[in-house]
Amino acid sequence: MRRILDIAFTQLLVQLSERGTWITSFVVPVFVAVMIGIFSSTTTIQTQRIDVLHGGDPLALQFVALLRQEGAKKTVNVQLFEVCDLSAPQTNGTFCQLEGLERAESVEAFMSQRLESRLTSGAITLPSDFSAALNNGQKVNIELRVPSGVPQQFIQTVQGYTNAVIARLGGAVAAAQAIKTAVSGDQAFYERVYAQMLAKWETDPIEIREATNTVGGQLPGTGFGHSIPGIGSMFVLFSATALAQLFATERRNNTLQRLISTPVPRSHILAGKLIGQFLLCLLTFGVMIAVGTLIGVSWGDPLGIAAVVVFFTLCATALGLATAAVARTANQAATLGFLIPMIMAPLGGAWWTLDITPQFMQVLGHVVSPIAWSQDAFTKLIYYNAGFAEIVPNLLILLLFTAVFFGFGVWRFRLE
Amino acid sequence: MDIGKVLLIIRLNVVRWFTDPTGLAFLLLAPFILTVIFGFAFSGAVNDVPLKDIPVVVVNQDRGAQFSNFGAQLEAFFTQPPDESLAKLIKAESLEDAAEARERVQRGKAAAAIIIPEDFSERLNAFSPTFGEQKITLEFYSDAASPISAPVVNAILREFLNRFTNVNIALSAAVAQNPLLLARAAEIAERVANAELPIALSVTQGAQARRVLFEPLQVFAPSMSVFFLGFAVAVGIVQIIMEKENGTLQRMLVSPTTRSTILAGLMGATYINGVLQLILLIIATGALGALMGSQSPVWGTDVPALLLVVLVVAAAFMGVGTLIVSLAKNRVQAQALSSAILVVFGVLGGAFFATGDASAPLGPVSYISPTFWGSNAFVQLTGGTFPALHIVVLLGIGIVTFGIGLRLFSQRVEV
Repeated sequence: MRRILDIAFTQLLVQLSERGTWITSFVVPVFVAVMIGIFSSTTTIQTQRIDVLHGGDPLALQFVALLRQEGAKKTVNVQLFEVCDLSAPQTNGTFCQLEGLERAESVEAFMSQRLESRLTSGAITLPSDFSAALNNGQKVNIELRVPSGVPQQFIQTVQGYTNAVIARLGGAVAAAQAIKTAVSGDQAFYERVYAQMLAKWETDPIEIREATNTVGGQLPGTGFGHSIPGIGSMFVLFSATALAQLFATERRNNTLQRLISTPVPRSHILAGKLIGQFLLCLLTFGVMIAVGTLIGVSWGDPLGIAAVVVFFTLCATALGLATAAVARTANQAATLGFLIPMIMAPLGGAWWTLDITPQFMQVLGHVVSPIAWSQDAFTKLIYYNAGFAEIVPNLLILLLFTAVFFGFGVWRFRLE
Repeated sequence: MDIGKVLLIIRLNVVRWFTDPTGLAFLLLAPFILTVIFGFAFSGAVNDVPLKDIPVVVVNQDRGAQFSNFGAQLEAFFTQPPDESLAKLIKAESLEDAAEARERVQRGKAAAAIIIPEDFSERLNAFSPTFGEQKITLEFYSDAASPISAPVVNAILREFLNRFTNVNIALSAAVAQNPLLLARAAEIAERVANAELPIALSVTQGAQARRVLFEPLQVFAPSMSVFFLGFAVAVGIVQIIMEKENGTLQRMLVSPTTRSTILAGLMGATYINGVLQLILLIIATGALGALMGSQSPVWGTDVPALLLVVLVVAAAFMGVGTLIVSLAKNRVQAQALSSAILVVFGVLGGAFFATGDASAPLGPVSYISPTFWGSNAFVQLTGGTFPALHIVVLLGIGIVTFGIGLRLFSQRVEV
């Protein structure tokens, strides 16, 4: 055992003495993970602008206030849309970007220009006699204009919230009118009932308590909670498959042959090399976890995280052995060592969450890439506060991958 | 400089590259496979398909009140939708247990769970003197992984509840005005419930601009090709260092061939390999796009401009590759350094992201990446815009980096 550990630590120290190892195993992975984390946390959902144009009458103002209230709701910490009141520019924040309104030919032209340039994702126009028409029992049409290219899904969402506002605002008017008709009441009766209704609506009797299934209010598969383990896994694969290059180089330099000629059993040499590479990979993952912790990733159950890291690294090392068994030259080893991680990473969801890909890509990813299983486990632990028991199936499948890679590697690998 | 010998060296090296299966796998197969993965992965991610069959679970714990069970009405609204459009949009299921409903959401089996409390009808009694004083709380438990579907369900729930609440508020207000109306409560409630809303919403979507649909291959084929072009060029230049380390460069210099001729031949071969790699990838991914049903050609239709961009992009990377490799002390360092820098350029240039358009993925930081300028030039060209600025920038990058790199590199391969 001591000999095995000697070989392992010697190999680890030799690799760590090279500047290239530090760059490829620690510096670049951290940089890539941070960049992808920044990108994915800022682009998944963005708050959209919805412009509203109206005549400034009381019901129109109430419509804007209610829609603003609906738009302010947050989905996993991101506001879906913000209402920009073009008729009362002073009531808007800087997000609305209404700077050019004063210089515009007209508010209508300004709104059209915003739609054309896609600065706003929708524009609602209320008629100038909105309040008067409603109070007189007339039907009012309001228009939601959406620029081309805005996804139907977003339109459905805005439409849904606008309808909710209409149900409340229009509903009160319709109800007061219906009661007035039912009791043959006069306009004064209508106004009293309507005022009473508005007063009751002030304290909306029903409240929807909203909760999401995520920890820390972040969308699963985004931000550093996804990029750190994902990119970490990819670079662990790079480090592990570099084992093939290491064997090829040692063979070419005859250092491996010299080692074989010593009284150390071949199995010990192989075990030492594998443990050495396993330790380097573990170090890479450890640095990634440390950096993730520093930038605020809530990892969840520490035992679960440690188990996924160890099981995945074991699997990656076994894959390194399998790669070494296939590669005959240093060039082949370098090519395979680059190709395998570069293909397994996106297929396994290291660059983006597999949830956004078609079903067959998700199945393919889980069949081909162990990263898919480790990422699933990380997602459960980081975003859904899962316990160790819930990631046991993922760990077992990682073990299965390890067994397959290791079995193949041991069967085909030759030290000579 | 002997042009004949330069061309001979170029020919020999190009043939050697393109007959090496390992090299081909690295330089052609890898970007092609990654483009395929990107193409399939994002083929349905950014699309214009309306939502449908959103999975929802409803738990009705409402005990009901004397005359009605409002919870049952709310449950029926989702499980047996009153109109076809809602039936298409929502696929709701009733559950008995709130914990099971939450678990469905947690496992991603439902976009949202609506949990109706047991005193829902009781509290919603419009004739109770305490009506409206205490909030009636419904639980809406949504899946954070459904950032679009869950809000849509929330909006529909809100709309239904507003209509529902409105009837009760109307009854409460009517009775407050005239207590005798209590006897006609059922009739009034029915009238209010059936009253047509006086506001109608119409949606119009502009058609003034060309429809912008995301074609994954039009973004990822260029970004992957340009990303791997960097590696191709770096590998080519590292090969020159290897020639020196293996002694073949020295043997060539023993022959009556000048140093500049050899260097020009080897550098020229690297450039030609880069150009050929790009052209082959353009053909392969273009064919792939046609097979995958892309609505427009992956690389656009302006072939002369496309060739010009290929030549310029390859020239830029030739310069970048030369400079990177010239900074390294030996082959191993050159390989590590080029891999690291090119991956960084790839990240900054958006090779790993799904931006869905030609925008800089990381804002102004992306501008320092030649991968961004290279892939973006192709994306612009595909969109019908001649990338003049990109060409100028790429040529500038190429000339400056090649100039500095060649000077340093010439000193390095001094034999």
